[in-house]
Amino acid sequence: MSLWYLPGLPLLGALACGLLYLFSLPRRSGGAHGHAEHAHGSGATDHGHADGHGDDHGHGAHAVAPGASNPLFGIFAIGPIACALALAIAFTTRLIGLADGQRVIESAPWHWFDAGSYQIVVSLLLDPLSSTLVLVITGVGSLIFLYALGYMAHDEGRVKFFAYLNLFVAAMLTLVLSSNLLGLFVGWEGVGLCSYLLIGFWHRKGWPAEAGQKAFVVNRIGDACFVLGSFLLLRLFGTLDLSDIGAAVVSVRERPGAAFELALAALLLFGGCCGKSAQFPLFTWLPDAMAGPTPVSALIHAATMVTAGVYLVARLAPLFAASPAVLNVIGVVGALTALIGASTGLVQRDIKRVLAYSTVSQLGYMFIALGCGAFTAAVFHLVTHAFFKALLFLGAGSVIHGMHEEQDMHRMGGLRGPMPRTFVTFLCGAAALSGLPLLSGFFSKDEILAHAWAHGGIGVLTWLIGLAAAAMTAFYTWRMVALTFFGNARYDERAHPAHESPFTMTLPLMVLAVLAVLGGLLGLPPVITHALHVPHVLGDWLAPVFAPALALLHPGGPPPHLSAPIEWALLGLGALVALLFAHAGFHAYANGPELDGRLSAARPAATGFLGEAWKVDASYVRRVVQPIQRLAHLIATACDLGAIDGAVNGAGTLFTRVARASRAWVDGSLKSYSLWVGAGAALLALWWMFV
Amino acid sequence: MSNYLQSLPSIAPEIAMTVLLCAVLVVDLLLKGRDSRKVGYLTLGGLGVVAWLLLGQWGELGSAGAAKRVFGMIDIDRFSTFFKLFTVGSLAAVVLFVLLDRRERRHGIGEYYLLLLGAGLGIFFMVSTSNLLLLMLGLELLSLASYSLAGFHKGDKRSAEAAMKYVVFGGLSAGVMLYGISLLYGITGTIDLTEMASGPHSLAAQFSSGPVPVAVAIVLVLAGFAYKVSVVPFHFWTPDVYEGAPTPVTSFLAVASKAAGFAALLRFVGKLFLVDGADGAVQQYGARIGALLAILSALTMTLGNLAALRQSSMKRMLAYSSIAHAGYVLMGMATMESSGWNAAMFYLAAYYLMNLGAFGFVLYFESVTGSDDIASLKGLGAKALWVTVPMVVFLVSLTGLPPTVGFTGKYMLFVAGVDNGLLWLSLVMALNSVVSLFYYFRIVKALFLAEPAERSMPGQSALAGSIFVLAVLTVLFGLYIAPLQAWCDASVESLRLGAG
Amino acid sequence: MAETLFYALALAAVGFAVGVISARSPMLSVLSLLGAFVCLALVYLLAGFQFLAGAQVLVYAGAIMVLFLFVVMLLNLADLSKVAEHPTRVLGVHRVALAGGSAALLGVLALLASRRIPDTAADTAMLARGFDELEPIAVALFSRYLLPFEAASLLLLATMVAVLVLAKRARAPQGPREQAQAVDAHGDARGDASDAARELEGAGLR
Repeated sequence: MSLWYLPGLPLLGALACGLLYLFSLPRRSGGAHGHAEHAHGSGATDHGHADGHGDDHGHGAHAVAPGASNPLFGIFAIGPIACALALAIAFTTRLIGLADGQRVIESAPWHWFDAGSYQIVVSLLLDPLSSTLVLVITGVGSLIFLYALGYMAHDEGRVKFFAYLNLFVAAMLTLVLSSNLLGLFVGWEGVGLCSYLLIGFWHRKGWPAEAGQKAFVVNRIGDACFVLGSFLLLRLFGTLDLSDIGAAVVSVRERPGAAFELALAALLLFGGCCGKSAQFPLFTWLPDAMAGPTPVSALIHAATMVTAGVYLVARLAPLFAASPAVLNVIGVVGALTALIGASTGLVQRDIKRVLAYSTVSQLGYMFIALGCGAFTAAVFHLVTHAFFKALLFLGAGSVIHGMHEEQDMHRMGGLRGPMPRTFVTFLCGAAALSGLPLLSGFFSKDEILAHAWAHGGIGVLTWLIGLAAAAMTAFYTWRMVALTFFGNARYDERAHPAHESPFTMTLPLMVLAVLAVLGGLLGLPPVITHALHVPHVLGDWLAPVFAPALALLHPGGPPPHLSAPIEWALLGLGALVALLFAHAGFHAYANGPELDGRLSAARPAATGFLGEAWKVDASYVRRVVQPIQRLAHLIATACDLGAIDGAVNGAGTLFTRVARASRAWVDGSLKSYSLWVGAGAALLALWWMFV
Repeated sequence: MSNYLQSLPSIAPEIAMTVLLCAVLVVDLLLKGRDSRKVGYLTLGGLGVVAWLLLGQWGELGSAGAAKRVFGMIDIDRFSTFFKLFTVGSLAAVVLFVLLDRRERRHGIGEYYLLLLGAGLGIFFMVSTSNLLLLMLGLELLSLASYSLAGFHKGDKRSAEAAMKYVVFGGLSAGVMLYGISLLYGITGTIDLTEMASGPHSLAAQFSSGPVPVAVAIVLVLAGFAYKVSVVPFHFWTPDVYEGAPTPVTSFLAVASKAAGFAALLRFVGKLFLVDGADGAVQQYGARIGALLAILSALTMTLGNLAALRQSSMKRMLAYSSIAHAGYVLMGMATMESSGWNAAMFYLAAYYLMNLGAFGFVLYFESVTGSDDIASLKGLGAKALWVTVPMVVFLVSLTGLPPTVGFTGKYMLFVAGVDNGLLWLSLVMALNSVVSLFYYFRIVKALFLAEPAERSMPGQSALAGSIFVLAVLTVLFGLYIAPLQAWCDASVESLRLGAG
Repeated sequence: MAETLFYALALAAVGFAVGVISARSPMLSVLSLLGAFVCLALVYLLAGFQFLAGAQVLVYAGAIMVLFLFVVMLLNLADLSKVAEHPTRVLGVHRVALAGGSAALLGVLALLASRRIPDTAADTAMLARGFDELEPIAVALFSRYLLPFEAASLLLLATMVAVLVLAKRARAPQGPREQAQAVDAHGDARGDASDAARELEGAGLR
C-alpha cells in the first residue's frame, strides 16, 4: 500500500461525485432523443428555480438534486474518506511498530519534471507529526462527512458539495503528507480553492459569494508571502525538500549574511500562515467564511485547513528555531490575535460568528505556543481544538438546522428541551473550549500557558494576554450556551417548532463529545504524569520530530522544567479563571440577552469596536480596499482597456492592416505565394552567406 | 538478395500498411461503393494490427543501440517507431472522425480511407529513411494523397480551392527541395545522409572548401521542409488549405502530416549537423543552422500568433495557431542540443494530442452549427459539457498553461532555450504564449460567457467520447510525464546513435 | 559539334519550359512540356545515356497522360477559354522578383560550375562500363533501390486513386452537405459563365 492512496482515494471520490453531478444535470435541451420539447420545459423550470427560490436553499424539498438519487452517491461521498481513515490507522500502526526515531514511511517519488537543470519531484512522507494530522483530518473528517449527509439532505447541490468536500480532503492530505514545499504548496492552494468554492457554495444568495472572494483575496496576500519565502528557501538551500531544509539549517546559518535571509524566509512563510490560519492582520476573512454550510465551517474553518499554518511552522520548526526573533514575532502576533478574537466573541449575536472568532483566538493560542518553541503544545492544542471546535460547529449547525436556518442567538433560547442530544454534546464542547478542568481544552491550553510562562521575557507578556483571552473565552462560551439552550424560547414555537436533528447528525456529535472530553489524556501536564507515572502520549510521539528544532533553540540542553509548585499554581489559576468567567458568562445571560442591549446602550463605542473586531476590517476597507479599487479602476480603464487590450487589438488590427496594405504581395494567389517562397529561400541563403 | 529477405520482418509495419491499403482497395471495389463505413472499420482494424506490430518493434528496440538499417536506407530505430506510432494513432483518430462526421456521405467514399492510408505510408517512409530518394518518394506519396484529400468535397468551392492551392504550392516546394537535393548530390556524390555526414566528400569537407553552394543546397532543402511544416515565409498555403479541406483531413494535415515533416527535418538536420565528436567545420555550420532555425522560429511563432488574433473561423485560427506551434518546435531544434531536441519531440507529442482534440471539437460543432465560425458557438458551452470542457482543456494546453501536456512541453522548451543560450527566443516564446491566450480564450468566451443559445444539441456520443479521451490524455501526460519523456529521450538518443 | 548541340538543346528545353508556364491554352502548355521532355531526352542521348533517354520518352509520356487526366478532368476545357480572357496581372513586384530570382539562380549555377563534382567509386565503375547497359541499371533497381522502386509503385497507385477521386463525375447529391451546395449553386443569381470564372479565381488561378 502506497501513501499515494491517502490523498488518492478522496481525489477519486471527488472525481466520482463530480462526474455523477455532471452526468445527472438536467439537460436544458437534448435533441439527441427527440425530446427537445420536454427537455426545454425542464430547462425553464430550472431557470425559474434559480430566480424564485434562490434564497431558499435549505428546504427546496421539491427541487431536483442532480445525482443524489443515484444509489452510488452515498458510497462516492463517504466511502473514500472512510477508507482513508482506515488506511491512516493502518499506516499509523505500522509507524508505531517502527523503532523510535526511525518512524518515517516514504512513498515512491513522483517525477513530474526532469526538465533541463531543474527537477520537480514530489513524494509523500508520513512521520509522527503528519500521521497525527492525517488521523485528525480523516477521523474528524469522516464524522463531519457523515453529519453533512444529514445536514445537506435537502440541498439540491449536495452531490457537488461532496465532490468539493472530497477534493478538500485530498488537498489537505497532500498538504500534510508532502515531503517538499512544492507539494505542500499544491495542497495549500488546493485547500484554498476548495475553501473558496465551499464558502461560496450558496452563491445564489449573493453574500456567500462575496465572502468566498474575500477569503480568496485575503489568502492570496498570505500565499504571495509563502511563495516568496519558498523562493528564498530554494535560493538558500538549493532544495525544497522539507527534511533537507531542516537538516541544513545549521550549516546554512553559518554562512555570512545568511542569518538575515533565513529570518526573512521564515517571516515570509509565517506571512503565508497568517493568511491561511487567520492571524492578525489577515484574520478578517474567517468570520465571513461562515457563509458556507456549517459542516464546511466545522471541517475547513475550524478543524483542519486553518491549522495548516500551525502545521507549516511545526514542520519547518528548525528553520523557525534558527531565528528566535521571528519566533517572538509569531508569539506576539498569536497573542494579539487571541485577544482580538476572544474579545470580539463577547458581543456577537450570530452563533456561528461567535465560534468563528473563537477559532481565530484559539489559533492565536497555537501560535503563542509556536512562538515560545512549544511545538508539541501547539500540535496538542491543534488536536484538541479540532475535536471540540468541530463538535461546537456541528452542534451549532444542528441548532441552526433545528431552528430552520436561524443563526441569531437572540432569537433562540430554551433549546435544551427540544434538542436534548445536541444540548448535552454542545455542553461537552463548550466545557472543553472554555477550559473547564480535566477536559481536553483545559490541558492543552494550560500546557501552552505554562510554556509561555517558562519561556520568560516576551513569553510572560503572551502568557498574560493568553490568560485574559482564556477568561473571555470562558465568558463568551457560556454566554452562548445560556443564550441558546437556556432561558425562554424567543422564537415562534408554534409556527416553526424546533426539532432534534436526525441520527446521522447527532451520532458524530456524540463521538466528538467523547473525544472532546477525553482528548486531554493525550497530553497530561508534567506534574500529573510524574505523579501518576503515565506518559505524555503526544509529547513522546512527536519528540523525535521536534528534537532537532529544540536542540537549535536550546543549545545548552533542554531548559529546566517548571517546579511543581509553580506548575500547580498555574494549573489552579487557569482552572479558577475558567470556572469564574464561565459562571459569570452563564449567569449574566441565563435569562435572556437583555445585558447585550444595556451594554450597547451604555457603551456604544466600545461594543461597536468589539463587535466589528476592533474595526480592523473597516479600516482595511477604508485604507486598503477602496484605494486599491480606485487604482484598479484606473488600471482597468487606462492600462487594461487602453494599453493591453489596445496593444493586443492593435497588434491584430495592425497585422490585418499590414496584410491589407500588402495585398499586392500577399493577395492569396499562387503567384504571390510562389514569390514569397522564392524570396524566402533567397533571403535565407543570403543571410547564411553574408551575415 | 537473401539479406533483403531477412530484413523483411523489420519492415513488417510498412508491409502491413501496404497490405491494408490493397485490402481496402479490393474491399471497396467488391462493395461497389456501398456502405463505405465497412471500409472504415476495416481500416481501423488494420491500423490496430499495424500499431501492434509497431509496439512489438518498439519493445525489440529496448536499448537504443539495437537500431539497425535495412535495405540500405531504412533506419529502424526508436525515433522512426515513435513517429510511426503517433502517425497510426492520429490516422485512427482521423478515420474515426470521418466515420463519425454526420455530414459525410456513407457511400462511395472508400477512397477516403485508401488515400489516408497512402498518406500514412508516405509518412512511414519519410520518418524512417536517411536516403533522400526515399524521403522524396515518401514526401510525394504523402503530398499527392493529401492534395486529393483536401479536395475531397468536389462540390464545395472552398475544398476545391484548397486542393488547387495545395497542389500547385506543394509542387513548387517539392521542386525547390528536389533542386536542393540534386545540388547536395552534386556536391557530395551521394544521396545518403549518413554518407553525406562522413567520408572524404562529406558535407563538412565541402563546406570548408567553399561554403556557398552547400549553404544554397541546404537552404533549398530546408525550404521544402519549411513548406511541409508551414514555417514562415513558406506558410501561406496553410490557412487556405486548412479552412477549405474537410475537417478530418484538416486534422490529418495539421497533426500527422506536419509532425512527419518535422520528423524528416529532425533526421535531416540531426544526421548532418548533430554529429557526436564533430570537428570544427561541422560545429561551425551546425551553429549556423541553429541560428537560422532560431530566426525562423521567432518569425514563425510571432507571425502565426498575430495572424490568429483576428480570425473568426476556428479552422483558420487553428491553422495560424499550428503555424505558431511549428515555431515553438523549431525553437527546441534551434538549440542544437539534446535537451532542446528532447523538448521538441515532447512538444510534438503534445501537439498531436491537443490538436487532434481541438479539431475533433471543431468537427463536432461544425456538424451542429453548420459552420466553424467562432461566433456560432455562442452560448453552447453548457449544452454539451462533455465536449466543451475537453475543448477548454485543449485550449489551456495549446496556450501552455498547467496542468496540461502543453504546459509541460512549453516549460521544457523554455528551459532548453535558457540553458542553451537562446534566452531571447525563450522570451519571445513566452510573450507569444501570452498573445495566444487572447485568441484561444475567445472560444472559451464564446462558449461560456455568452447568453445561452436556444439551439438544440444533437448528441454524438462516440465523437464526444473520443474527444473526452484525448482531453484526459492531455491532462494525464501533463501530470505524469515520465513515460512520455522517456520515449522522447530514447527517440532522440537513437537519432544520434542511428545505424550506419 | 556535340557541345553546340548540347547548348542548343538546353536552351530549347528552357524555352519550352517557359512556354509551359506562359502559354494561355492548356493544350499549348502541355505540348511545350512534351517538347521540353524530348529535348532532355536528346541531352541524355548526347551524354550516352541511351536507356535513360528511352525511358524518359516512354515513362514521361505515361506520366504526361496522368497530368492530362488531372488537367482535363479538373478544368473543363470549354471554361478555360474564359480564363484566357482574364488578363493576367503582372506587377512590378513580380518583374523584380523574376529578374532577381533568375540572377540568383544564375549566380548559384556559376558558382557550382566552378566546382568539380567528386566521383565516388561506384560512379567510376559505372563510367567505365558505360551507361547503355541495361543490366547494371536493372540490378541496381532491384537490389540497392528496391525499396524506392516499390515505394514509387505505391506512389503511382495512390496517385491513380487520387486522380480518380477528383475526376469521378459527382453523382446526384446525397449527403446534406452536397444538397446544401446544390441549393447554394441554384440560388446564385449570376450567370454560369461568370460563375465558372469566379470559381477559378477563387482557386487562385488569376
